[in-house]
Amino acid sequence: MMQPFDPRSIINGSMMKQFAGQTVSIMVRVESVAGSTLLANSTDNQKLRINLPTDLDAAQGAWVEVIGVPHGADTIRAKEVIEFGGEDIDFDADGYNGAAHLMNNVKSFYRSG
Amino acid sequence: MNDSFGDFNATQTAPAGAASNQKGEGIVPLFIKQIVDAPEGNIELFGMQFGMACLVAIVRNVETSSTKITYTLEDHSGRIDAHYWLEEGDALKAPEVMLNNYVKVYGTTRSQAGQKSLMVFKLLPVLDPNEVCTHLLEALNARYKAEDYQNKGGSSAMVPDFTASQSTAIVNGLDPKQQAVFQAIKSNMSEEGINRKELKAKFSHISDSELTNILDFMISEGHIYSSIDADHFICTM
Repeated sequence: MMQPFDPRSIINGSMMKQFAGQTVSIMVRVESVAGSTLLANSTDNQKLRINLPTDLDAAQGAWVEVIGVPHGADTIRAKEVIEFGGEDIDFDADGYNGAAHLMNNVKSFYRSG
Repeated sequence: MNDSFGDFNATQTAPAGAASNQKGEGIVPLFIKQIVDAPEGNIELFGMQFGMACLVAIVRNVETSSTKITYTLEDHSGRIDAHYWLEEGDALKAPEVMLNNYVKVYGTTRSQAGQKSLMVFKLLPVLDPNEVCTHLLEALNARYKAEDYQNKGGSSAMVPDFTASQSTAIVNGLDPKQQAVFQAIKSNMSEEGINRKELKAKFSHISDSELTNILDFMISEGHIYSSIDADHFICTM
């Protein structure tokens, strides 16, 4: 059964505190996984601790999308983790940082004239 | 109350120079919320009409019937149903998708009883997270460029540029000398085109053999062609 939809903000590591308690989406690079705890790095080199709902099988160095709720500057309670099919992805961290900044700072995006 | 005069609230939005009921062309990258919030009718951004939308979203559900496959797509901004109509024997050619993975979808929008849905033209799996990020940037760009274009009065000086611009005469792959010769040919307005003598006179610093090489190269690349004889040239664009 599908979970009900919850809009989320696209963020990076430095924005975690600002979005504490809100649903976010963040791209992270897997450092290590131990059962239901994922240690990962954000695109702006913040070390994050992610509490997973289920065990994750991701390889070290893989980029994954974490959807969940931040608590404080470096912890997220994840609702889910999205993996990508490609291998050895060269993820454009700078591009993502730029996108996350724009997504949360542009004015009236949903106005359509 | 006489309701027979039609809808007075209908707005005619149109970029300058376009018919207000012209069918749009082109593909615009969007977020799901933009589609869901949009009024009925063609896909439109600040008066600019498009033929199709492009989304990057997670597949949350797949439902198959004998006539269509319905995907429930979700991005950060919303959810929408996307219908992929099957033709005879199509069930085997249906796109392969994995649940809770990203796909890129091209399609048109449809309104039914106030509910928006997508009619899928093409659906492809997304294997690289860079594609997701690129889509965010493209959607941002499209939305603000469209507003910009509308604010500038839709003048022909500002061509909406979501894809490679066609409005400049700059031809890729030509060096400065070739470019100059090309411009000279292009700016000649006569029916038979500029002739070799005129080009030699214009470009007296270029030797005959070099000019010949430049012209031959541009003919082989398809930028120019010879018209009434081998010494008259017209450009193809």
